[in-house]
Amino acid sequence: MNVLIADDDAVLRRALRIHLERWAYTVVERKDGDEAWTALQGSEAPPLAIVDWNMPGIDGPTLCHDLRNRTTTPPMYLILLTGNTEHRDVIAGLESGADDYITKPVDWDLLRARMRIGSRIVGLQRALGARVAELQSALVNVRQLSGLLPICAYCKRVRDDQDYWQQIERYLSEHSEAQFSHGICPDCLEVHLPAE
Amino acid sequence: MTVVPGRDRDGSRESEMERDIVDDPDVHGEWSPAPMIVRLGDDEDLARQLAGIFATEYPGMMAAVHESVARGCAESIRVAAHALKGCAANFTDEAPTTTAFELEQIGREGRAADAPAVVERLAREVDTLARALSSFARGPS
Repeated sequence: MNVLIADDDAVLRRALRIHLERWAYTVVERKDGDEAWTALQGSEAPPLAIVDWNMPGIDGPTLCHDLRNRTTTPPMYLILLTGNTEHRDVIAGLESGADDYITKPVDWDLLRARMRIGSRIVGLQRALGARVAELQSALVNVRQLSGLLPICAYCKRVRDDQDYWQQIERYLSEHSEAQFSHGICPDCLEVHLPAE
Repeated sequence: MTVVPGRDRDGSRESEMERDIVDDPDVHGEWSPAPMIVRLGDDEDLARQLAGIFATEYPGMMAAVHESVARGCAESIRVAAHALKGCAANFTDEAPTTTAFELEQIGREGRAADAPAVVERLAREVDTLARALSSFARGPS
């Protein structure tokens, strides 16, 4: 899984990169908030990001806030990294839109555990997104079957959107997930194939 | 001379001789790499890499501190001191980290006139740390 690290401290960036790569993450490194903002745009943006609170350009809380306010944001787990350890800072950081908060100096075991949580949540968000997309697609098909459908009073064919008259089973097959197997009901059997 | 528990680079056995060298204050000044190595999961190679990066980075950060103090801009002092504090804190929670924090507070409180005296001390402490880190980064001789 890709993870973005944004920090102006080159020492910490290297330490983060080495640890994250050991834990099988692919690292995208940026050294200020503006570069991080650009890297977090688009559908290919890393779904996990560790961002410094104080860095040149956009600061960490503003970055989190702005990312959360985007309507097109793909699932993203944001961890704020900071030397600010006061209670009110933790609250402010989380309220800015961060999912988690890690203080410096980094406790590597703790970061690894937090990254696992982030990965799990991103995985769940992705699965949920895929399921929603499936349901939306199904809903489109269902809607195609709603509304006024002209049907011949005699042969029971229905008229489609292009004004072609179709057998009803063909029409339903094309506009839904329904499949048909042909048989004969008892009443029709009596009419069409009477016992001799 | 202090000996701290550690593994050889192949992770297989104790390597007290090498640990003696990296922990010798005569070799690295007052800074000791041992706590940092422990914090990095006994990864001495990584600790040396990070020390080398500091040696490369600190002149630029110190220059930013000097420049902000020369301009007398409290906010610039705060930002420059904060950056230096964060970088130094990777190696020690004592001086120069504490002094950089002191300077950051001066900037935060808008007391730019108090900065020059602190910067002098900070520069000396950073030099001392940088010398120790450079020596450590070169590895055991």
